[in-house]
Amino acid sequence: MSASPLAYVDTNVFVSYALGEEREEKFQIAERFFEEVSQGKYIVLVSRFVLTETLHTLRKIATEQVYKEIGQNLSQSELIEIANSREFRNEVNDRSLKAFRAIIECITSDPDHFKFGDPKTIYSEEMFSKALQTLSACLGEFRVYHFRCLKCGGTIGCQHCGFDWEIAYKAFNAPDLTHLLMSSSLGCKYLFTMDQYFAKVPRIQSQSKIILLS
Amino acid sequence: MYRLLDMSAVFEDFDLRKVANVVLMKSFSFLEGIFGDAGEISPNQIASAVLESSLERLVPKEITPEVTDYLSRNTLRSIIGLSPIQINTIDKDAIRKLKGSISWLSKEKINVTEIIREMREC
Repeated sequence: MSASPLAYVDTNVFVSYALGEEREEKFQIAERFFEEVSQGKYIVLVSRFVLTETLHTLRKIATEQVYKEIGQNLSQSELIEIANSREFRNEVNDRSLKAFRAIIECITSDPDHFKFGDPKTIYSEEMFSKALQTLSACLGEFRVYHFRCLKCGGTIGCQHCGFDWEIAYKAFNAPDLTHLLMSSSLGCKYLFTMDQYFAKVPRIQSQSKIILLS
Repeated sequence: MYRLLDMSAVFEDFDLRKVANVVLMKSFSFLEGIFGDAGEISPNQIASAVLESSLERLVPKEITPEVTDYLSRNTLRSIIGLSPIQINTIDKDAIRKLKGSISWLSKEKINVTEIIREMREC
């Protein structure tokens, strides 16, 4: 087991696997990866940065879910009142924290498959200099999106001018590069992710090898 | 038949921090004789020193990567209010338990990669 290489696992792989088949579109991809982990092919290196992002993601999902459970056709002032209420805050906090605890419970009780980054690891400014060099050398892409309703996913347009599309800049970004460079600093041979934007990151010297799960 | 005394009135004003401070302040005069400039020492500093020396006794002398990892796991658990685990705890079923462990969080099928992508681009 100790001969297995360390694998830095991106937040999307973690959360997707924990959400399960019924709730996640890319679950099976994450499942295949964790099967390999259970067979001893890799040891998962859990970074606190990933866990921080995980908690934030769970809060986003919980907020969306609690919002969807609220009745339809509420006015803006009614929604503001709900959003500012203690009940709404508590509900989102309770659900997301319960989910986070469930994940931490699993990963902290299996030292054979999950390791944690050395708390004494120091990240240098030079590391981010590499990130800046990489980012400045690559321009991403522009995509056109239809505005969509957060509740039902249907297309929507502005009530005043009818504007209903946007051009958005899409590219790998500072958080992606931070994950990648941290992965290298923590001694990981691989970085596993399901985010296609990682495929566009040029190879940085001595970095972990990016494995795009698909 | 014996009845237990009602001690609620006694504990009503009981404040552990206050008691600890009183004890530490009493120790303070004793420490004045040891440290030259005792004015620089606060009860909190003393408490930290006592805590650190206690931890030193508990933590094994040799800090192996396994011990560091064990401490990391328990630190993480304590941050979110989970009880500590023993150093020899190994749940071989943990990966299976993790699968779908939070499926109740959403009632619809979602794309987490997309959600995280959006977060990273904000």
